[in-house]
Amino acid sequence: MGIVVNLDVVLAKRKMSLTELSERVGITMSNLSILKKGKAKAIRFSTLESICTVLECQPGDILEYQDNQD
Amino acid sequence: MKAKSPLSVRLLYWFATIGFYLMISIQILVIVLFVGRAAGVVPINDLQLRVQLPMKFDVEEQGAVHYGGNVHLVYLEEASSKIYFVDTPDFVSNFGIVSMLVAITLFVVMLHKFRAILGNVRVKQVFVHANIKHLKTLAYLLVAFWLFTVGYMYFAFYWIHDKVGFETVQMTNNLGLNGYSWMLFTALVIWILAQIFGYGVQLKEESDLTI
Repeated sequence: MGIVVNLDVVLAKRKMSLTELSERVGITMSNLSILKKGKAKAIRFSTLESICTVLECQPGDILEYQDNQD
Repeated sequence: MKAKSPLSVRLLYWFATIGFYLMISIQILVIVLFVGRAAGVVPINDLQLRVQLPMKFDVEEQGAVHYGGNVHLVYLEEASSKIYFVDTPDFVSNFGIVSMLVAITLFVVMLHKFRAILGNVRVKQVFVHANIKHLKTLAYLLVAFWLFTVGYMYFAFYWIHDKVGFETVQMTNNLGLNGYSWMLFTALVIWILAQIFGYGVQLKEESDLTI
């Protein structure tokens, strides 16, 4: 599995839509969608910081490492 | 507003398009000529096909070079020439037409690939997988064109060397194929360019998928 993005879980906990996050963070919906679907190859610290600020969470809440053997 | 591609790219694309359709027209004409000859519609005696076969000749000619107020004597030892058949033999006519057809076909496909690359660049699709494929095909086609040219030259040279004789000049054994090595070098450069484009595509994909 590798790095898993739990953005949808955090969004559900905060009861926030992807559109609202997109507006508040200043990232396009298509980019957020790429991140949510786990298709992103990299994430900038600035983007991660903005998301964590808006969602009031830690990077570890959004990103999780899962062993491939799991 | 979407930015336009540079004028040079648009001009090159249109030149390539004109060249492409021009070569296709010539290709069709050659096919019609070949079929017409085979069907007996084009009379053989009236067809004075000019088959250009570059040959080197041993000649002895004295000349002078005027330089810095002095006159330097020079001898012309070797010269390149072309054979012009007046009453073209059947075999030479067919050989000429088929060779022309192969050369034009290779050239048309190369122009098509070149045009496809320019078309992609025109719409700002530079680092895409299609361009890598086109570039690689272009390099392989250029190698094929070189192979065809060398084969054609060898065959034509030895055929002429064996069959044709002139009174005052002597044919040399120098085929002079070094002049065609630029094709191989160009193919190599294009192939390297394809590898660089491959790396470019990888970087672009990473950049596009960096949030």
